[in-house]
Amino acid sequence: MDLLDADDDVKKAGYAWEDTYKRSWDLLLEDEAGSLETAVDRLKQQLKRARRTLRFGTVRRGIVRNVVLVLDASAAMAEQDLKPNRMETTLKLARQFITAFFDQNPLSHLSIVVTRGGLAERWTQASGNPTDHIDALQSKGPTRDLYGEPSLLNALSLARTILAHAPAHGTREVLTVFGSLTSCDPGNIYDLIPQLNQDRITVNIIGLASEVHVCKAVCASTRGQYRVIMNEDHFDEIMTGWTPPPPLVREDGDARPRLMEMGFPRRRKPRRRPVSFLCACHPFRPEQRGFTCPRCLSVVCELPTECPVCALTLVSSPLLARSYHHLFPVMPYVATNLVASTHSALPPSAFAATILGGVYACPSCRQPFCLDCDIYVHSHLHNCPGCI
Amino acid sequence: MTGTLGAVIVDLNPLGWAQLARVQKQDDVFEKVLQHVLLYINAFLGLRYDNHLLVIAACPNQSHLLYPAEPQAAAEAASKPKPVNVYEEFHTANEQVASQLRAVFRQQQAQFRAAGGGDDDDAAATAARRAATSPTATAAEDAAHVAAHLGVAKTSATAATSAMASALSKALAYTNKVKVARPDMEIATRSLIISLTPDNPAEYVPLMNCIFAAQKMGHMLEVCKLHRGDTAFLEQAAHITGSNFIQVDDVSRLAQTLLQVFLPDQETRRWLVLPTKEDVDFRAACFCHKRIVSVGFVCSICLSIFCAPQKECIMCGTEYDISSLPASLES
Repeated sequence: MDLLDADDDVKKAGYAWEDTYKRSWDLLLEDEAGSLETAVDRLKQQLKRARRTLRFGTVRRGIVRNVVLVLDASAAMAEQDLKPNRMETTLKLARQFITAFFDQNPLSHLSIVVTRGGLAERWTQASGNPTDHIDALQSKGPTRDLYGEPSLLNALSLARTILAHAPAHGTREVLTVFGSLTSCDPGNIYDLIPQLNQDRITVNIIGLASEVHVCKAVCASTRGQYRVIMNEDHFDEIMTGWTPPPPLVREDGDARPRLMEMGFPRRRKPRRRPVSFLCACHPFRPEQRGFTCPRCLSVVCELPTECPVCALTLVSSPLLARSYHHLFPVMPYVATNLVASTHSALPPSAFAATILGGVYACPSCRQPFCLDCDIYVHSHLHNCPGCI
Repeated sequence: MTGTLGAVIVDLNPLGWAQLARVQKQDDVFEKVLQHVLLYINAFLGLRYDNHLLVIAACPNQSHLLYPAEPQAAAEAASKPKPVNVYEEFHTANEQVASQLRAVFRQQQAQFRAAGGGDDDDAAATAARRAATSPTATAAEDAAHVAAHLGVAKTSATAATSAMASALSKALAYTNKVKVARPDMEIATRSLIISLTPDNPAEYVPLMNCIFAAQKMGHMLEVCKLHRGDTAFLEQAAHITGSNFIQVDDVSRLAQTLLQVFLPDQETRRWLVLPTKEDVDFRAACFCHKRIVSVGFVCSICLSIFCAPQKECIMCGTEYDISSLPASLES
């Protein structure tokens, strides 16, 4: 019944072609010189800003994520509507995604599963090391061994077994790129949905062809999202949208939050060189430098790890700090009616001194910023240079 | 080979300088250090025609962009007569950087005296004596103690430290703007931090944000430390961005360190074996009391760090699973 309700909601929203007709060219107005450049620039700026503002908002997010990336490797992925073909594009975007994913979600784990010829196959074990996954994509990806039909059921079942071992305090997600319009399953996929829900697994699917009912049904009933791409840029945008930690939406005791005790060790080098010593984690491997556990002072050779002597989780503070900008987001700047046309038009501390265009101000410190600084502050720096 | 946009961030905390003067037994240590820094700046500008300089002062509560000067001030300076036998850029940089640094430094000293309501030299002398007699007490504790003693207890945490995150944010935003404005120009960028004060734990998150932004941009954060306080965050900055962290104990050797370690550009450095600090302090600051901790409790939802276990996360409001908490909190 749930599925039918979900369908009704979509119908109420209406189709794009039923919408009132928008005269998009009315937005373009010529400036005094009869050129459209100013109007186009303004639209570009609005677009750039819109992309950012969407992501703003303080919500509880699950930063510790357990993710299975499912890639379709069936014959449908050899289709050349994306250049050079669907698989190559997917692999390229997957590599970008993995780098960004570990950048934004420290302490998370990822595993890659592919499905072809009616089977699902695990490419990488769940691990927190991005190089493992990128290497696997590079070494196994270019074989272009695309055949048969994918199996959504097998892929999700395999993902479920992988995620079953994930610790209870993290999210459990399946992110799927699905190029085929068919799925060759050994059983009824609707029987799997309650099991996925029981294990609180969220399934998200990107469709590369057109909308498929079963994909939509699986996503809707596991509180995931089903998106169908329009072009390569859109594909990139959706894939990038998966990188920030998702807001916690599952009210059924989503993740059981825990307070984890962690140690932040110092890296030490023996005073006299060359001296090798043995670390506590690899008894037979001499090391040149190591990290000392702050609780028991035993030496380990790499981070993050668990102290083999006192079982304290050892991490470096930068690993955790990568996610802190989600907790302290910079307030979005508001557009002012100032225009940075000359140097003298702005207060001396303005960062907008040399660039033409709109001027934006921080709502708390009232400092003016140019568009470039606005975007840089909100997408990379995450500090307002005027406030701190 | 490309040009370099080099930012020099000078810590102008009056307390830090007073302590340095006592430790080095030189009253005019600021002027001496300034001469060494100017020497470095000249060498940097002279090294390549397309090297660009940025000078930022980090003060206790704020930071100031000192060079390049504001358009009006620059125009004013340009109208003054210049000596004919000096390379123009050396002259303008020397004049402006020196006068601006001196002006801001004097202003900071005056502010500090006004806030303290007394002669800070005496207090600094006490601090220096204590530092000399008890090697275990850190400079940070001393500085905080001095500030508290002077009756500026309210600002004691900030008075003893400088707004390094603010200075770095400005340097990075400026660097980014230069890169965006001239996408065709290849330019290497880096920042040299001349540190006089220990880390301010309250700045942990902004400072780490700066470090990651710098890392993404390939911007090296180099640290030249002139004091003996705790600088876990700056150590991490140098480590993460793959650059050098040097502690200079004798100020008269500052120029040598600056020229030898911090002058070569990124490309040349690959062929040099430069000294750096091998020990890196990976400690973090807790969110509840802003203390630097080596063992902390981390929220599994938002990864906030706390120095003691608690029932509910103060950042995201999550209530923790009872079974995971230590027995003392369960009741």
